[in-house]
Amino acid sequence: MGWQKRLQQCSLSSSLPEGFEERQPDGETPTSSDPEPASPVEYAFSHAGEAFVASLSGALYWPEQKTLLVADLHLEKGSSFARLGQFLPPYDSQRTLALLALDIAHFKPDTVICLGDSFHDVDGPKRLPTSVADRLQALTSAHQWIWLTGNHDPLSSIDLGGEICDIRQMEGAGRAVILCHEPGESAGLEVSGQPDMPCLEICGHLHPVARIPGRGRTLRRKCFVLAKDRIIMPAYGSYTGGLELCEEAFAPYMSEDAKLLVIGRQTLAMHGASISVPRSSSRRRR
Amino acid sequence: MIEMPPNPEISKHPDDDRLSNPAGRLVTRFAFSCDDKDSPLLPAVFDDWLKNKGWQLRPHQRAMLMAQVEGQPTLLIAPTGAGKTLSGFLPSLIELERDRREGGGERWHEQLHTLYISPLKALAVDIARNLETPIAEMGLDITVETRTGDTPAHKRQRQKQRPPNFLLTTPEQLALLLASREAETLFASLKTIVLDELHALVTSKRGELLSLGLSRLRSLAPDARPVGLSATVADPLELGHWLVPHAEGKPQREPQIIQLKGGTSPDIEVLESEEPIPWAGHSARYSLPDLYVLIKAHKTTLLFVNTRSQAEFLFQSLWTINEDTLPIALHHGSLDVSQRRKVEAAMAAGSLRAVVCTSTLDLGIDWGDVDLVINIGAPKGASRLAQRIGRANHRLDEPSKAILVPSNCFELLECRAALDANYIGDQDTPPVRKGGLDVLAQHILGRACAGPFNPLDLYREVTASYPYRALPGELFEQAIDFVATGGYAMRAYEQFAKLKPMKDKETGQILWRLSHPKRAQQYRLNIGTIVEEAMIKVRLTSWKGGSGEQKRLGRFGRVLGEVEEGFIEGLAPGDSFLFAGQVLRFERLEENSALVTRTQHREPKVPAYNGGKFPLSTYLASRVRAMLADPESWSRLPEQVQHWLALQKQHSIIPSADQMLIETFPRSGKFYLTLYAFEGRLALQTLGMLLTRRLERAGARPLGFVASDYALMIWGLRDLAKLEEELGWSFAQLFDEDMLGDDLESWLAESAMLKRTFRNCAVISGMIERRHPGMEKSGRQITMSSDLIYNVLKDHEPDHLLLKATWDDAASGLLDIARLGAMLQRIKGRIVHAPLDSPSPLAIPVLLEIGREPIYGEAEDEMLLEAAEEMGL
Repeated sequence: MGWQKRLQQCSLSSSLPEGFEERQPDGETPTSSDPEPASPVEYAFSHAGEAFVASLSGALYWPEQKTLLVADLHLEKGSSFARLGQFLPPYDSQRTLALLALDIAHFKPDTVICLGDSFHDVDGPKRLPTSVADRLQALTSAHQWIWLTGNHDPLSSIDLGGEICDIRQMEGAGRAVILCHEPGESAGLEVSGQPDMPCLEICGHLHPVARIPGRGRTLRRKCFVLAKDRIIMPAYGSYTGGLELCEEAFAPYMSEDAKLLVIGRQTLAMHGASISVPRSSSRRRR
Repeated sequence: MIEMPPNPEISKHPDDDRLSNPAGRLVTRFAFSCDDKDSPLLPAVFDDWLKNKGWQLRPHQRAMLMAQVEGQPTLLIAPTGAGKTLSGFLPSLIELERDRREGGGERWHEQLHTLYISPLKALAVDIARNLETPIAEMGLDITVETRTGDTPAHKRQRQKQRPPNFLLTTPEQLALLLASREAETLFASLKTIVLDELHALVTSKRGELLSLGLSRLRSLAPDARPVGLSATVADPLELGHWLVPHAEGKPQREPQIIQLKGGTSPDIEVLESEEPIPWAGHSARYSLPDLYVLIKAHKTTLLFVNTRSQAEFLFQSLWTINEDTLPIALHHGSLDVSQRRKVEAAMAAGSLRAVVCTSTLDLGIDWGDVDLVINIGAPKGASRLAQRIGRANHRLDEPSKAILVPSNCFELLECRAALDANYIGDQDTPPVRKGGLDVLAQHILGRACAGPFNPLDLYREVTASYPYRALPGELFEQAIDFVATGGYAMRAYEQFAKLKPMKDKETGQILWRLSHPKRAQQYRLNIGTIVEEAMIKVRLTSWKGGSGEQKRLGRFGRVLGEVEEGFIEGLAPGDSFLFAGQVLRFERLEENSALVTRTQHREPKVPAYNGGKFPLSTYLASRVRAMLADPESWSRLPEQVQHWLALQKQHSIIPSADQMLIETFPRSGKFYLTLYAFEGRLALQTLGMLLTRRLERAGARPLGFVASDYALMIWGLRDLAKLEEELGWSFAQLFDEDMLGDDLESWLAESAMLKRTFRNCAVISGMIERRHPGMEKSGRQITMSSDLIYNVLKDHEPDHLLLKATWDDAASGLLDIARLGAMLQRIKGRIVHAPLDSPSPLAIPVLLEIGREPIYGEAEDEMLLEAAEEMGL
């Protein structure tokens, strides 16, 4: 299918987070500025024997368990900056939650799990504007809602519904699935069920971003990292930045056969991990 | 306005005198001669000093003294070499001396008399050095000091308490001084404000910041008189008005404008080389042997290039053929300060034979005995060229000698046109823009740092400055609100406000004050209007200890300078590149440093080319078009270029001066369209964006485009020659002016260019901080988050102050929309189309730019999919 046809079929608004702008001197790709979001574009795949559906927003749906996973919402990052005198537009939490509500409406999960760093800092929940807090409360009470704790938000006391825990274990089709904030947290964990099979870990924390070269430029895009026995989720929040895959932090997880599910403006595309260039050779690929 | 003839007495000054006098440069700039009629204006000590030297005042210098007596704001416009800068100081020297003689000198002890602002640190330092000699020779009791980013903190602190009589500084340092609590006392005594190289400052955001600073100075020191010094400009009256206070949009005084005409015509040639000029490329490699011969034949040569990477390349190449090991140096803005100072000192001492430099040396620094200026690449504007050429023989009385070295055929046409322009002294400086709201926000915060302010007073002060004379009160209020809490409809940040209202105890009026001293510290860290790409330090290090596993890279080493992050990102470990005149091997990036080692390679692996920073001026563009259209004039061009044009005539069409040529041709399965508009890179890039949108809509399936100063090339999947018969779009429709309406709006709303502009505005206005106390924010993070912020702001508050500021900036500067509009108007009904089977001679250089330049297009997602397909996924 030609890309333009594909685009026409999945007419999605630009009010979804766009990942990151490529850093190149000039030039632009226009997208529609229709503020009404339509249904999310999705990409179905299986990894480690489990079937998943990824959404353009960066959420991951696990049909088998009717569970929606999102990582690194970083709610109230805007007001966190405002405390230091930088007044970013105060709409980040509201947008992030609006997006999450869309994903929830689309996938209709029973369970929603936030994989940590749901708030940018410990005081975040207190600063949440009342209207946004109410909306969040409505979401958490309508589903089984689990907040995993992250490094930014120990979430010791959160009054927004849902349950709080450090790590969550679930049963996949063939093996145990561990949900946690930082990659590697599942290591050495006592896993019930199939002790011989390695478990599948789904985590966030690193905010993965791929650099894709081509046509004389490089695109920087959020992505899912599908590594051995592990899925690292992209950051979901409106103001979240990204870390490039070439960074040291990813090194332990980037095996030869790792794949990247890259989030474009309006499509998702699966790549081998080698597609993402270390910030470097892109310019010489002419 | 006073117009001065060139001084007929100039020839009186023999070269010997200059050479034997250690302050030769300075003395020639004063250029006095004995004349008794000067005596009433001159105190005895000056008179005697002049008589001893056998010099007299030049007419414009006398006019400057008169203007001072009358207390008028004054603008001196003179070509380079007329002794402008010291004409600006002379009245201050005399006034201070006179006060001292009349017994009032005591009050000038540790009082600021004259503030001098220059766009360049180096210029301030140079001027200070030049002032020392006459002060010493006449035994004047006058203190002179500079204040720049390099001045040690303790000295800066002392300068606020006990200032020198003359303080020489930059616009950013002035803003910092004005934002300090000492500002009121420091500037109370100020009598004169000398603004040097004013023509260069006023067209930038730095100029806007300076104009607000000037307005503030007028409030603090009502007696202070501004004196502007400028090279020749297109509109002297506008520049004069920039100096005087405004009210209700009108100037409140008329400035005195002293204009010195003429000077001798420079002696300029285009390099005539045995080697053929390449059709494309920017290295000017072909000219190297000729350049070396020229350097050998002159005392000191300045070689100007347009970008840092060109400077590095040329410097390196010259050294590879420097058989006589002539002292040839390199000077550009990315080099470490200490390295630059070394070169400057060697230059002043006359120990260098050549310096390869960028625009950091464009402005008025006087570098001794430069007898040849070589300009590599196209000059881009007649005024810029005149400035550079003025660096040779920095004297009014001798013609400057300059050679232009085009690096490709198109540039040759441009050089030729620039050369004609310089002879007739045409000017193409741009007009002064409306003041930016981002700069205003920075100024408001700075004002609050100096102490509580009354918003009405500040509004009067702001609108007294020329760029902000028409600022509506409503926008001013929005700007205050923006600074205080971000200016959002959703009042989310009241509790974190930077500015808070308070009641004035005496008057009962509302004043705004800073909420916390920390905010002042933040302001000081983030001052300035130059937002550069994040810079990375280049640190020279070496491998240490043993071999193999034992080997490790030293982490500490000498900093050679800084380069744009984007450049370093383009390197892989092991790549070699040129920097600071050496071939270096990139090892790795560590925090804010690129660790590099020396390498034996002579050829760097990564060629670095950044397109010219300055777009071709409208004026030069029209000259290039005229030259192209007139085959008679080709005889002045090198044979090989004549041949190129003759081939074009044979193969395609040579458009007449008022026509625009469009060529179409197929090539390896794609269809190309080239248009030759000669409107400068910015306007053509904008045109490229808009045209691809239109072609997209028309179903022509464009894939990308490339824009240069001269031409725009678009390619796609459908034959653009058959646009009309197959898709029903005529060229006239395609180029209709209505593209500047909806197409422009809808493109801009999503444009990455606008996002970058937004980033600049966000940084200047203080929404995003470059630096935060205790936190180093890397440029990489800024780029990402400013785009996210832009999207959020656009969706939620499309009328926000920063979006207004962004739009103003983009429309006037970045996109050259006005120029594009004028072009569309101009070509109406004058489009000629040449359908071809293969690229024409004119098209080939443009074709060669593809792959060298970023390509733009809509097909971003397609690229992702393509890449995936390539990998068989």
